[in-house]
Amino acid sequence: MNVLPSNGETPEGLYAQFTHMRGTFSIEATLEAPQSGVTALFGPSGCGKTTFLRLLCGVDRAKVGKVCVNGMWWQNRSFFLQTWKRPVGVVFQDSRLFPHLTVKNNLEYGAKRSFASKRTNGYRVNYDHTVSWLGLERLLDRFPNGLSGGEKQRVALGRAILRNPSLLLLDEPMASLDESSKIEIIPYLEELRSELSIPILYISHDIYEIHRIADRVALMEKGSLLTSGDIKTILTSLELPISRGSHAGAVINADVVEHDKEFNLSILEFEGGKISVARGGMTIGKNVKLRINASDVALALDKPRNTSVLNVFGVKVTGIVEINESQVIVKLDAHGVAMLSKITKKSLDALSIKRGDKCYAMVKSVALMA
Amino acid sequence: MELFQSPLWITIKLATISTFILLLISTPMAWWLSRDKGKFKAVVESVVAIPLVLPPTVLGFYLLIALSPNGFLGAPLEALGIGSLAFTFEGLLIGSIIYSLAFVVRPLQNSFESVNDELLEAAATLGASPLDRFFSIAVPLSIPGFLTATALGFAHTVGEFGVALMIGGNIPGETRVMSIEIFNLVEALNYDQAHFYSAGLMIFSFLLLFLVSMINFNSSSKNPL
Repeated sequence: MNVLPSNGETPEGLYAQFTHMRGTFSIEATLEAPQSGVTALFGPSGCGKTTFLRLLCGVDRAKVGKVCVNGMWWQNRSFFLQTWKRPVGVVFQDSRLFPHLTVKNNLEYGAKRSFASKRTNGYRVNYDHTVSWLGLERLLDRFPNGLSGGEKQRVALGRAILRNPSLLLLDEPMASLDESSKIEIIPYLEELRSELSIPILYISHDIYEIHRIADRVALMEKGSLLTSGDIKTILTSLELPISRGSHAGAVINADVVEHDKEFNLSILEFEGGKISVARGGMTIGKNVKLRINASDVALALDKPRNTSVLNVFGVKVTGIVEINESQVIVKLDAHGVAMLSKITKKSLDALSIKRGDKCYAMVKSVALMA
Repeated sequence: MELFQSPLWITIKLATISTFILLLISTPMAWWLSRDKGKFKAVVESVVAIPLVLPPTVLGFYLLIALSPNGFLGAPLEALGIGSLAFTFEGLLIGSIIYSLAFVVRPLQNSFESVNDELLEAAATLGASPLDRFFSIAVPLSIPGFLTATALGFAHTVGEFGVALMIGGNIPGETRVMSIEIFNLVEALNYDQAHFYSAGLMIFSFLLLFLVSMINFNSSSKNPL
């Protein structure tokens, strides 16, 4: 699937391939990511995500490995660029701010050592813009020990960005934060893809985080990279365990088209139809991301009337997979948009639907992501 | 006696120069010891620690033999025209440095060991070379270690007697340090002067050790020594 372009050519975006042993654990993985956008590296704890990141930035050295970022080789058969010479930005789970430096000096640490624009495809970061975007003005003279978890991660993010990297790596930046700090930092992570036009790799084992932040997903398991691709495709791919887990669901994009003032609803439109969400006052024209859990989607053969469910779409069944002794996941296509429905085998039998059949999906709730 | 010939002056000169050279030698050595995990580390640590347990006279004796005109250090020095260093200030300086090495290396090593590898990794991802990381992260985070090392190195050099006697002899204005002067005064039954010097050294040592304790107390949370 992932083939390195033959002799002479350098891959675009991010290309990384490693064969590495660490004790008894082995990593055998190839990852490609486009020139910009957020790719999530998703997998259970201990599957080798962090090791992969460490190999990627060169803190650990893979015996056999190739790394190329936007046309610049960082590692190949005969060559290994030291970490400090790589235009990489890393945000660690534990922020790793320098305790003897103020926030300002922490931010400047990377900035002072940053790369000239020619090595980063002309991309330049603006110090003042980054500081104000992340809301760091008030913190500049403070020391890291006095900051909250969320503030520390904002500083760490700023520090990595001001390094002017051509690849940004985030290693579970929210894993050690409490709920309120997560809520504080997540909007910045969502804005990353529009702020930076470089490949961004976001490591997480939290599927909800990935829904909100990433455009693409790479699935990792036991040291291997299973597959990677667009987040909507991967999440609803019945061949992958992710579509059968308890968090199975689909992500769709929709535009805000009108308001229902009487009932305080916003009406959104996507390829498969219109969706009402119970939140008024959203900006008309805004594109939003919605998550639809498989367990919130019920199926009906006839167009349901007299139901409390507002959101009903005509769909086609594109696949059915058994997830346990009593339940199945049904994959649906709503005018090109994939959705999942989790129903019992008994219901499946009663409806007697099979691949290719048409039916109606009743969506009980949608979660607004951004 | 002139000030620059006095035991007090020679002691201060010896301790200052020793401490300075010790910091230069010990800093890279302690950094290497703090990061290395190989077997060789144990060997080097033991060698550095020998003067802690060895009678200073033994160390002085071997140094005297090595630095004598026919010794394995003395002979080449003689041939180079520098001359034998036995019973000279320079010889005494070499003795002091070896004798006090552990007192400077240990606190520095402890301090460096408490510098988080993860911070150094973060610095590397921000573009800092190994030397840059050492000076911009490890050194500032080890300031208490440097202060302790300086104070202990200085105090220990001031307090030496056995090595000074063996290698330096008892030459006024050259190698006669305070501790030897006190010995001379006692031999001569000049107790008043001996008291004067001894009390001075006591107070000085107390103040330095008190300073070390204060440094360690203030940084004990992050920098156990």
